[in-house]
Amino acid sequence: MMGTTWQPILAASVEADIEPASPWVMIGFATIMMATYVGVAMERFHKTVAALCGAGVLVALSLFLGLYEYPQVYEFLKEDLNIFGVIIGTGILVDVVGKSGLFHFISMWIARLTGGRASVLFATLCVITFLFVAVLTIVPAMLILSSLVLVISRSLGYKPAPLMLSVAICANSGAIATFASGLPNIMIGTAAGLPYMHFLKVSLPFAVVSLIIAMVVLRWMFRHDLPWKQTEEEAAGLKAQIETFDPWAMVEDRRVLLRSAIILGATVLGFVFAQQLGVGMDFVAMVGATAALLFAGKGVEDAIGKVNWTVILFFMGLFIIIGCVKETGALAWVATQVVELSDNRLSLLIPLLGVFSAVASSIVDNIPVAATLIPIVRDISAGGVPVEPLWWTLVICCNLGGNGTPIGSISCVIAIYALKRESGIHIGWGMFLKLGGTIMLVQVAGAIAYVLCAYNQGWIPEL
Amino acid sequence: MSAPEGNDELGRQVDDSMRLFQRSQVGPTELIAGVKPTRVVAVLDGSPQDEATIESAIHLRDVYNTETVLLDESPPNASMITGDGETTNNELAVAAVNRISGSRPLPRREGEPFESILAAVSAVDPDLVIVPCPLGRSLESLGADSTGTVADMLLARCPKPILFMRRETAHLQQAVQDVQMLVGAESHMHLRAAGWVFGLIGEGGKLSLNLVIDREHFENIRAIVEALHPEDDLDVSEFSRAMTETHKKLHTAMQRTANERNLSYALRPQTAEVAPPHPLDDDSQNLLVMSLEAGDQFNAGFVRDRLRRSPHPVLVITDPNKVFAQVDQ
Repeated sequence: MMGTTWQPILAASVEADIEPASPWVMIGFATIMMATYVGVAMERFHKTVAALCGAGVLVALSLFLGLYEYPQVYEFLKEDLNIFGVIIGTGILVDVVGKSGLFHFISMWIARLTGGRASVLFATLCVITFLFVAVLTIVPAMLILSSLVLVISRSLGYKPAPLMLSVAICANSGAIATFASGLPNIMIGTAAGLPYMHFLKVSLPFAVVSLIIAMVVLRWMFRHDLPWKQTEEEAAGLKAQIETFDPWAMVEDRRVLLRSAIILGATVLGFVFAQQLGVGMDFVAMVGATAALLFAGKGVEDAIGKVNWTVILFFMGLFIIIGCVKETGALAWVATQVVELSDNRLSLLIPLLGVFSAVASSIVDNIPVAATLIPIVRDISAGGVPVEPLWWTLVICCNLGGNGTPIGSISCVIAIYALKRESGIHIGWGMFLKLGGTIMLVQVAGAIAYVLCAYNQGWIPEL
Repeated sequence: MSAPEGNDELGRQVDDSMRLFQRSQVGPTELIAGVKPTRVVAVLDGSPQDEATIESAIHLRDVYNTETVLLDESPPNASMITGDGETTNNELAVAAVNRISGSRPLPRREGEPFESILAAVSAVDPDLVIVPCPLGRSLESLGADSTGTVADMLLARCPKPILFMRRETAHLQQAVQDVQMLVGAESHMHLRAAGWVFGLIGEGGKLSLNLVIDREHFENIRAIVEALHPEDDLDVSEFSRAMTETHKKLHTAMQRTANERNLSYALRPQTAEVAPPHPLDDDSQNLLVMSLEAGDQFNAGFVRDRLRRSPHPVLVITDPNKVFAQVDQ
């Protein structure tokens, strides 16, 4: 276990093998990177197009200025090939398992068990969301749960917005639960070499705490929006109504359902024990995907086509942008400034990193935020600062930052879009900032306190 | 943060997922009671399919203690016709009695084979009629081009479920381990057909509900939809989803019954090109089950098409009330 004292550590020496470019080059490259991020946030272009444009411009400029030889571009991508393996493998696996109806079946089966009572349904939906995101990642889980909320709330006569927003916000707690529950986790986990088991030891406990925080605040915020107290007569009517749903009606083939569950379970176990098995997460993900295609897939071409190539290309662009800016020495310079500002004390570095990553993630996509901060955290730790608490701060705050604004996380984007499309309900920035912003503030403050406390108590495993 | 692959794609995915949940709102569903035949008429014709017919009758006797009435429909010799309109050409039926316990021969009546069979059905009132198809010929002689006149007439007029025996090596005993119920369109007869599926299927057997999309049928409906709503573009997957939605109650009832009886069950929406049966030269052992509502010309065409292509035994559940009326006419 790690040390438990708060000794100030001398300023980190930044990566010695990068010769800093002139300040103008640093500023120019950083400006192009920021412009790309603004493009991603503003949605004037597709985020993948924005990232690829930024990458193309920076590579051309780098070669023109003689910052590096062209083969260096491959080096930027080489380090992250395993991320692509995880994205492709889990993409195929989730698509095949999703088509089996497993998660639709489970979610409807559990929803029926609630009997349709508002208070039980609210709590159950929050917990299912957390679990589904932990296993499936945010997008597929949100597609299932947002549609479940719409169908169930229509059938039971509840307002969909409170349940939908609850699901969206609880999804971001689920996203910090495991290595594979979100793309920032995969990126940070891969870059830092964080084993799956460490996620279960460090980020999962706080994921549960953040879920409880979210549920308490949501319950209070929506105290007038759902019929929390219902009579026995009303409860009987709701039970009769929700029992008109039969989860078996969604299952086309019970054998495929069973096989999908087994393959998914085995893959999750593979992730947990990957380090002990001496293999990478990408290998486990690809084996899971191959097993799914062999034993549970109906349309191989279709499943492979469902791999999120948009995200993969977005990542490629992003990694090249980060690589180019890193080559100028700009990121190392930022790291040096952070170290000086914090006097190299973890008690300052953790809050600084936590607040910055959360606020930045609530404005820009958390993927570029994570991608940019990974080399900075590495540089900060180069001089001897314990890196583990910084990595966990980044993992937790990058994900929870998404609760801050309606565009901060994909779960909120899906929820707000589905509410508008299917129910004609518009969720404005003001309303969301009041709800999500409050939750984010409490959660991020809790996360900072948690990481500091965990480090102090020696609960964070050493890498 | 932008939506994955644009809002249109996101909207489509949410719609798909909502449809799946909506499909689960089926209301209360009862388990399907299996139909167990107590009496069958088995028609013999001297063709190679006779062996399959006899073996199938033996299987029904063994499993359900079925009484078998044997009818010889091999080509009659004119000199064998008796004064009361019956023929003495009954050797096949008499010979088969020794092989099937609890069976008895029935004298055939004068006239066309289909008339003779319908008369026997009327006289015996069986639960099931087992008929070689094509009657009096081997399967290879007509191939997939025709099922023969007798099959056509029985489909039009027989008031009882008909089990058409096709390939001589395709016996009911093996076929009931893999039962495929084919549905081409909406019909009030499907639940009745499902009752036969659960009555005949073997212990631990596999069964599927195949929702078959006929290309021509789809094109016709698409043309109508486009005429009514020019902005809509109906594709096969939309049509398939609609068909699944239409049959969700049947699917759920079959799923639940299969679960209850520990049978393997699958719902398979599919185009006619990939739907059962297998090619004629295939020796897979399957039982195909279809229902035929009287007056439903589309469904009649669908059943005939699947029957003529099939090397497997095909059970067609006919509409008793309507067809009786036709016979009376």
